[in-house]
Amino acid sequence: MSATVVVDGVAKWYGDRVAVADVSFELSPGVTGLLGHNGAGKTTILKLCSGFAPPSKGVVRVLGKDPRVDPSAYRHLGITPDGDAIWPFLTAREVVATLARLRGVADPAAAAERAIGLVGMEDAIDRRVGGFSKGMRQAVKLAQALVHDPDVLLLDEPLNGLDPARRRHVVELVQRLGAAGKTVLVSSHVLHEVERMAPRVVVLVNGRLVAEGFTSEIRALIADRPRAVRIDAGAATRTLVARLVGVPGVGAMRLDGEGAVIEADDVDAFARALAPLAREAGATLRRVEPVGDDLESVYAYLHARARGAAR
Amino acid sequence: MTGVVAVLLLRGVVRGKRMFGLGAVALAPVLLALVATGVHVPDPTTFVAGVLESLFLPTVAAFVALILAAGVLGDERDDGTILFLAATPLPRRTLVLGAFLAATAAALAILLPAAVVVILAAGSVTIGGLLHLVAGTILTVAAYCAVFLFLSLATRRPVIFGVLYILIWESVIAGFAPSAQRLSIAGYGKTFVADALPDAGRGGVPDWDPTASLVVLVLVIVVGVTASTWALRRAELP
Repeated sequence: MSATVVVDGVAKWYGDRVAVADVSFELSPGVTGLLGHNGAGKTTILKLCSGFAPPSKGVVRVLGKDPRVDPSAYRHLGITPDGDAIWPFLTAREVVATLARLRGVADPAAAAERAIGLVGMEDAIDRRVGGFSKGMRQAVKLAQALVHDPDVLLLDEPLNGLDPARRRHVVELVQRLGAAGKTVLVSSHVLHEVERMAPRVVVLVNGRLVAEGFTSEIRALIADRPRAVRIDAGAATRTLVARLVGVPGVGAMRLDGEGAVIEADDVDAFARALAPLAREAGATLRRVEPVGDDLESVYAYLHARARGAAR
Repeated sequence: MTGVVAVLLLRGVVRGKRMFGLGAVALAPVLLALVATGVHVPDPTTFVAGVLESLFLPTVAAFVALILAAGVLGDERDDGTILFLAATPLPRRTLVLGAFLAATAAALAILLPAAVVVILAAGSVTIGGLLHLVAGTILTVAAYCAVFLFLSLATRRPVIFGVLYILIWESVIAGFAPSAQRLSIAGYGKTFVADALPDAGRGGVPDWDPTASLVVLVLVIVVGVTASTWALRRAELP
């Protein structure tokens, strides 16, 4: 399947600060997640793909065009930018219909009603955006991105600020768009959020692409990574740690005031071995919990792995 | 589509207290002119002409145009709404033209009534004189808006640079050095406005051909809008 969005060797820097470095990927019809921690470069990549900023190096093409050079690309490109500012003096209908008109839609009024219906905002269609909550503004932003029925959608954190019901609605909408053959790039810093929408992900860490592929592969990669586990068996902790020496999948161990921290290369093997060994040692496990299992450490692992430094 | 963009941007730029503040600025020459006619100024015509030529065009009109032209796309860029306009297939020229028209219309809504009141205070004015005044004000304000629109897209501090230009160049240097008037927007505008005044009020006005002044002001507008289009194409949006 031919690529609809091409990002080739793209870098973007502001003075001494590198926002993204040497990022290359291609998108085909379907939903792709753009995953990364805050400040990873997701918004910069979306800005570059949107034509809002020129790359310092490399090439970006959307449907074979550079939107900065050829604005006609925006006929087929829908964008929900970062931030929630929309003209507060306009109603939701006016915002969406005006942008439909500017994008050359044949019947802007009908298209606006349809798009606002798609995001479930019919009830507030004639209310001024100035009085909207963040979630409602997000919905209007999404409606204006859909109003001209674009082939490519670039959505920057579209679930931010949405209540659970609207969040579910938007997830289903994005899934439907992907199934309908649209190319959707949707950014988020939450893996399980992206997982629900996108079968594929591109992972950025500190401005670099560190992983790319099916969401299930990335999930497996994350699950298989070495992890630190804290155990606490009270007075028997030291005995239990001694018995763990030499167990497959168990690396470095250290005792501290709250028990012991075990570096596990193979978490599954460690988990299988732990309970029988505790029984043998007569130890009662009071606590077994992962250490540093937050997303930041996941991204740090992927970054290290991409640089060949992971174990 | 220029009209749709212009109306949208006009609605944005006239919101809030800004228009009231600028209206108060435009009241200054009006009050001066009315006071001059109310009290016994020896030569009210010359006085009012001086207000029009030395205060209204080079300072008040320039300042009002600066604030509105700097805000029309500057505000959109600051709050991010410019991205919605940028994400349309419209040529960047259309966006700039819409912004130029919005800023000029908003500025004229404040300045034209003030100019008319000032000129009426000067004494007997003909219909032809009024038309000269309106044409001169429109052209001068439009030229200022084109230049300041470019400034708003080319720099991060358009108001500071604009105020320096108005205070140092338009109000001081061009006022004292006749040759500097050749590079002053107000200088060209005055040649029209002066035709609205009785002969007594033409003291500080350059003796230029109004047609040449018209050409220069139109050129300034064309160059300003073209340069703004170029700057918007190159601009990095938020």
